[in-house]
Amino acid sequence: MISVKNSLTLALTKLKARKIRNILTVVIASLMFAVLFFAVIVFEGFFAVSLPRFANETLSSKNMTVATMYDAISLFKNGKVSNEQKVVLDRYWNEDILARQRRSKELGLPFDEKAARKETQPYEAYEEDRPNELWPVDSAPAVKRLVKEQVAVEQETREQKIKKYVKNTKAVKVSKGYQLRAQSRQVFLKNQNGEYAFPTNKKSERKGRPDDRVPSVESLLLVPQEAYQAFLFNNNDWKAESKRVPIMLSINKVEYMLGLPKLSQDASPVEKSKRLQDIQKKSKDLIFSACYLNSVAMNQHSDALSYAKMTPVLQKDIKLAYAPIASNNCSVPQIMKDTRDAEDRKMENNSALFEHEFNGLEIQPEAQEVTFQVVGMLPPDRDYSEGLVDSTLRMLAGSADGENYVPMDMFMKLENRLDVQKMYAKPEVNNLENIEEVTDSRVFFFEYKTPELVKDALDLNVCANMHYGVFEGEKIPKEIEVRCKKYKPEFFASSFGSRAADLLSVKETFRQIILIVGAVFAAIATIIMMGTIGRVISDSRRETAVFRAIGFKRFDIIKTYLTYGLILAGVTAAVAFGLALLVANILNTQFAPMLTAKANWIYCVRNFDLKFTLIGLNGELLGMIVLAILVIGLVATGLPLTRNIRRNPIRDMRDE
Amino acid sequence: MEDRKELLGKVWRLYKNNELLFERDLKAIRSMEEMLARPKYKPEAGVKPVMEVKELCKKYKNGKNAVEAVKKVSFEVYPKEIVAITGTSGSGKSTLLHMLGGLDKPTSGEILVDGVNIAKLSDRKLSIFRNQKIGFVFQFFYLQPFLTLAQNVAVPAMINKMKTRARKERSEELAEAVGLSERLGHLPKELSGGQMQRAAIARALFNQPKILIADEPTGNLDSKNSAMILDLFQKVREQFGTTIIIVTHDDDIANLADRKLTMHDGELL
Repeated sequence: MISVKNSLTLALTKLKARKIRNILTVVIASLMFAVLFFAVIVFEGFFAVSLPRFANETLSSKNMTVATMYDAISLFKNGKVSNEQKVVLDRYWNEDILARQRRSKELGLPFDEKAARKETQPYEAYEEDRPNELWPVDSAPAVKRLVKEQVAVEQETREQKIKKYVKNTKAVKVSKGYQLRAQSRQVFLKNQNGEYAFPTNKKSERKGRPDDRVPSVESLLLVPQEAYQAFLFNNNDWKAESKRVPIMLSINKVEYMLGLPKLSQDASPVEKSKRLQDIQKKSKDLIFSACYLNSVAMNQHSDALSYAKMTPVLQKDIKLAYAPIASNNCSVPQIMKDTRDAEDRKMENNSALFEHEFNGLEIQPEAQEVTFQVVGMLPPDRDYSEGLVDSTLRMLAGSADGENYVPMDMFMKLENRLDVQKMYAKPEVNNLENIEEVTDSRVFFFEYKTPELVKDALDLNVCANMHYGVFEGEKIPKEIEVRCKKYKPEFFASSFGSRAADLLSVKETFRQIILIVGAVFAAIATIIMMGTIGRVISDSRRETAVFRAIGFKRFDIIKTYLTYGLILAGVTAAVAFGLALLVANILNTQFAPMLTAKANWIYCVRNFDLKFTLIGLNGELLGMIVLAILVIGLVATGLPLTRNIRRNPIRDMRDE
Repeated sequence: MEDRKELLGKVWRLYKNNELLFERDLKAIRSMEEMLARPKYKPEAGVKPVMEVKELCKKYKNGKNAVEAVKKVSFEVYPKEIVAITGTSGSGKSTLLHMLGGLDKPTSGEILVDGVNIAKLSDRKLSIFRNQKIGFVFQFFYLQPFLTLAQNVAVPAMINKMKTRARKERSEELAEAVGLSERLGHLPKELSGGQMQRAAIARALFNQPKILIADEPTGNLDSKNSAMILDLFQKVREQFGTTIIIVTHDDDIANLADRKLTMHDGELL
């Protein structure tokens, strides 16, 4: 058998002998494989180097989900009212109507049973042609009563449900949070001029689209420390006795609150970095107020606005009139005129009492100012004017989904916590000592070891949908269906913080695209290489015959040609890699500063040394491609060689 | 003497037709004349043949028809003999040569080389046999275009993994024998046809084969170079004691051999 050195010597003569053809093959095949190398380098640079670099330093790199429990929905299987439930609901409905009737009589109020029944109807037909399929009406008192009873029963097993879910989804940690929503109050933010934007009779002066950065504190998400830690300012000076609600707003909301105009999408990387640093510097001192008006105060304000618009003739008939709330003062409307007699007052008071008792409306007007202090900054919310790169990056980076985070442990220490809680109370709850009385919107933060487990947990949402029929007709993957059969989920989970699971899906999609494109290019390159090598081999038939005559074994000849194929493939791989690296470098030089600026903003970084790169060299992956090219080289050599080696050498030797 | 007359007749015809006749051609003719004048080598009585061919047959299938290329051919070749196998195109001489060199297997019959029937050897053993016992020379030389003459000559050494130094020495020795000492570092494209064939002969002799098999070795050469190659064969036989079997359709070349075997329709005449 000939040595490797000798087969190398002979293989090199093949390369020299068909120089032009070999060079052309290397060039064309290299271009094909360069596309593959390039895709892998950029893919790795983007997903494996840059994104984790930013995620680790800034946004919580924890794999978390935020989940709500299916308490109420689970009561109605497939979202529908069962026959048994209908019987109960009918009973509660009737009881409620009777109670209303009785109370109206007591208070001397007129009562329209038909109207009251319609108003409190606990269910309605899903579709006109399916009158037997009933859906519950969430706001109906009978439904609320049924749900409340059910939740009270389920309270006992809540901890067990959490344990079960933790076990099923392999969560490593669970923490509680709360979703506060101002349900009975309207909230008005004080602007830069110290004015609240209460409704007025003036026609809107604003022209064009409103600024989408305006924050809303109607909703607050109370989050545990592990969920907010990544966003908290390092040296914030918030104190519990300040009576300021600690809050974390998204970076664009903070930008707005600081009175900074929106940066253009075309702003240079330098401008963007400067703006980010500016916001970070100023945001620590950001304090703002909001005025909470209850429904009574809002109604009085509306009445005052109507009154102001009336003609003096009409105004004469109005017995009770209010002045609209001044825009610089968070207070209830002041009475301007009151000509009511004792009977009028009694009837109005009784009516308000009735509404309070049965519909949870308050009796007295209320206006309360709450002050907030920004203690941390969240990644930006969705910006409808953003470009494709920004939206993709933001989608991968994750955001707070428009939520405002309130650090839960800090909030619990707040001196005026109960007053603040009251602003977010459900209408029927009056005495608030326990936060759980505020609302039943508990949320749970589950932490996982890997993004894959997050994805698994999110996949289970489909089970919930399947079980409760929230989305009928949704196609469910087989393996999830199997999992769903074993387990009835009690939670509906969403990504929290980093979009670990989404990132995984996007990465997988990109990987598949690269794989398919790569396979196509590799196939083309294989055909080209096979063509050339095949030609070289068939051109060398006589030479092969001579080698045989000299005493070369078949294997020696195979070895020589395979070495030739390997060298050709090796050179192709090297050129392709070099070319890909070159193009990736050019691209990186061109786009990395812009991407860094975008990522700085989207990840809301504090460390400005972080750089986005489009170059990621995954040795394993690149090695696999090189190996694939070498295998292609071997296959491209092997196939024509097999044909050639089987030929009778004497036929090839004679010039016949 | 008849051969000589034929040769001179040929030269006269060429001269008459005004086709050539330069000094070098005359030299070649003179050297051929000299070669023809030399006494033919005759092996001593009792010497064992280096190759015995017994009842050798080769049948091909050409579509539906079976073609008998070689029909019961038997002969012996003795050490140091130069044997020419001649015949018209299609007479079966090349088929016979390939079987003798172990490149093709006979349908029946025996080829005994040193008492071993090479017709029965496996492909692997045949490769070894070819490498060690046989040297091949072809009409088109088949030198590796991007290997130097020294490297080309030493190609057979690649198989038996000869040490570099020994390989170098052997290459130099053979280059000297074929008169190409000055050209060891040259590439084939820098050599003339005759030089290339001499290099090919050196390559064939590298592993000191017992038998040198030449398939139309002068088919691609002019008369001067042909004469030189034939002269070289004589020299090789004398210097290395090699037995040489030449296949040629050129009677002038065949006549220079010690013995001429003529084939016709697959049979020896």
